[in-house]
Amino acid sequence: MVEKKENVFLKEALIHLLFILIAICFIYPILLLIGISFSDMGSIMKNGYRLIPEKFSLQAYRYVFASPKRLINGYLVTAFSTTVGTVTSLFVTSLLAYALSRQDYVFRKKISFMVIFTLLFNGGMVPWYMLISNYYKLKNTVWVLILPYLINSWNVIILRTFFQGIPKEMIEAADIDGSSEFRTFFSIIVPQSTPSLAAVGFLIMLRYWNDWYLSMLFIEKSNLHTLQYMIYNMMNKVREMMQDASAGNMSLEDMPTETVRMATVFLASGPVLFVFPFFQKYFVKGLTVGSVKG
Amino acid sequence: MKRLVTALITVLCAVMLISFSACNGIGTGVTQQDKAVNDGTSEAIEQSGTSNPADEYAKIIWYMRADSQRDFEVVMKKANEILKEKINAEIDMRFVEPASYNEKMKMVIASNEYYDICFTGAGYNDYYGNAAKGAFLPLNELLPKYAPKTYAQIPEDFWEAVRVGGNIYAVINYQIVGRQTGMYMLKEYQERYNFDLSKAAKFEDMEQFLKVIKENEPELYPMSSAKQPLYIIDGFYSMGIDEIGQRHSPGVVAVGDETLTVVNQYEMQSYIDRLHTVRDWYLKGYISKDAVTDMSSSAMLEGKVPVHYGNMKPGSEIEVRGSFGGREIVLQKFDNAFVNTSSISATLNAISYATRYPEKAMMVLEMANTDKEFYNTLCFGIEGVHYNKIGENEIELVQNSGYYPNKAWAMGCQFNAYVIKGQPLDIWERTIELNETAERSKLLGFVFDPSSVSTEIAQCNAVIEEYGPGLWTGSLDPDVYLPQLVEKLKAAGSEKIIAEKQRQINEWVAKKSK
Repeated sequence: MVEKKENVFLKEALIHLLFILIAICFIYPILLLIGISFSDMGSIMKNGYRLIPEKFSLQAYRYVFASPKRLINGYLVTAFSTTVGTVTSLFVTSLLAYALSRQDYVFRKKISFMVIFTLLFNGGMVPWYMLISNYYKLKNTVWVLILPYLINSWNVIILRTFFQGIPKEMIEAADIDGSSEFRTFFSIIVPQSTPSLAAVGFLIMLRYWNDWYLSMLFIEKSNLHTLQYMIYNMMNKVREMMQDASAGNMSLEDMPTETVRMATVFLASGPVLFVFPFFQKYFVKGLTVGSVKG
Repeated sequence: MKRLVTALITVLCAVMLISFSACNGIGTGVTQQDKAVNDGTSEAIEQSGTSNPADEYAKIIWYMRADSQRDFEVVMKKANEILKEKINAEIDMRFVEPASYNEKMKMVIASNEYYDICFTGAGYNDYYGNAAKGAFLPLNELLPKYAPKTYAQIPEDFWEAVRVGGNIYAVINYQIVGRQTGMYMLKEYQERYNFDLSKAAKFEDMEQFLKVIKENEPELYPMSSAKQPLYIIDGFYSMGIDEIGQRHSPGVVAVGDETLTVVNQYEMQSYIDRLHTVRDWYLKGYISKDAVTDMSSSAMLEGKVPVHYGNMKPGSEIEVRGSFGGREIVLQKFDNAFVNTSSISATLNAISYATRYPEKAMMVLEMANTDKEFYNTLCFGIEGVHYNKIGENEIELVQNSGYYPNKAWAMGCQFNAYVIKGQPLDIWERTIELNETAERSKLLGFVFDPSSVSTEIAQCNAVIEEYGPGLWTGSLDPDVYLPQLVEKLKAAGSEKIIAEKQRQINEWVAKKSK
């Protein structure tokens, strides 16, 4: 009996060790990021990156906060587009998914086909750009950061599968009791589906928060730029200066230093890091939501 | 009751759908305004019949590769005031972040979005590709008529570099085009050992200084180098090499070769000699043993690297200080300046093919290239707010002013810019002189189209990535490894590339002489 216990212990210890190592691989870069952002530039140049800063300094943060307007603007725009975007997208996606999950919906087959078709094919980037820019005239508005990502076929399918798992009898019972379709949806279906709604909601939120592509293509007013786009530009500034130098054009300004870049990245990704633990509960449950019916 | 609610909802949906299309009114911004202006002017033209389009008011949309600035609105307002007064036009300048400029412009051009002027160049917004596709307006007639001064201030043969299929498709932003190389040395070292820099006239002559420094300070590596050292990249001219197409790709023409024969530079004697010199210096300890892997420039910043070889232009002894940690530099020029197609076509401004105001757009570019007031407002902002004048032509920038895009070379002729404190006062005169006396490449105007040999070029690139850094920093023995490099290049298709380059050059020469 004792040997068996030891065997299991060894196996478990190994598995734990493996996962601890993997976890360290993920956490280490972030800790390094924080460490660098609080370091003094000179010690970085001399001694390279250090986990615990050799010379503690708030120099990078002071530089970033010297012109805080940009950063605050970025936050405001990103916060707006993320919250409004996530709520609206979740709302619209779940409505569509619910309708598609009901067997008695007249247009079920046709609309399902359209949803799945767009999963596989799309019209191409240039037509998409022309549609948004020339026909909908959404350039330089805050809505262009929200509308393009409103309905994602993948999310629709996940939610539809989940809704299909809700027993038909429940819906029939509600119908007999005289509930309207909307009433059934909001009072019965939604409370039952919180895990999957939260999971999909989180995925949508990540999509909106991390997006810089829409800003790059459609926004030309700097006060409507999202946070991620500002970071993208700043991180690439060094590469762009090198490109200028090779074309023979010298730049007279200083390159954004390592510490400043790290500080900005930390400021932008920090909030997500803190929000995630709250969603974790739902996320784990929601991962398997599409796999088992009923 | 239920039916009523359903009906109401249907109507609501229909109303929402319709209002979305009415959304056309919101967020159109300039495009709508543009239309109104255009309608206004076209009406005016219809009425008057004989009015000159060059006199009508127009708002020109201009895409520029620059970071967005805090005081952008204010500065543009001032610039537009000047412009309106002088040529009855205004610009709708749109700054696009440099990191995303190429992507964004690709999209704008592909989707036929309306704009008038855009910044372009050999490496920015793919000038040659777009010109060939017909995205830009040919400027052959417009230039002499509406931008005569701009046309005249650039040497005639430089315009050849931007000719595609016989037409000029962009205005050159005249700036430093002559490439000249030389030696940079930290002043304290020159004084310490009493070096007479004029004794050095070429790359190999630097050895005498390196020797003395090394003898007296054995722990120092006197010569700066890097994975792709500048004495190779900037030094091609000094080896008599006129590069064609992508850097390091096999197939070059010897400088001054009238027959324009394409040869493999890795088999050229001058190249082999240069590699031997570098190897010799490496063994003697003049070049750092870590050059191949050391990516940081920290040694230079700390003043531990006294000697540096690279590109030079008037005023660079001040500009380069930054990379040496602010220390004083002395320099010694080596070869004559050299001009080739890519150095001229580095920064250009093109007019869109679909522009509604070609004459006005051309006039705006003429202003940007000749009118000092307008150009300097675009570059530096408003006097007293973003910069202060400290001399007739000299200014001092206000720190953190809210407007400093630092893209004078992208906006227009750089020689009209005010001299910034710290630059030598005669910097522009010296630069113009350098450009005019520089040796012209015999290939001026030729652009290589790599599409038929792109796989071979990629493969050769891989071989060069493997052997290059080692050979260039002297860590690999050229007698052993250079033959290997050449052999592997041949296996990767270097002969095919050379043949293709030769064919295209012959074609170009034949077309030219017609």
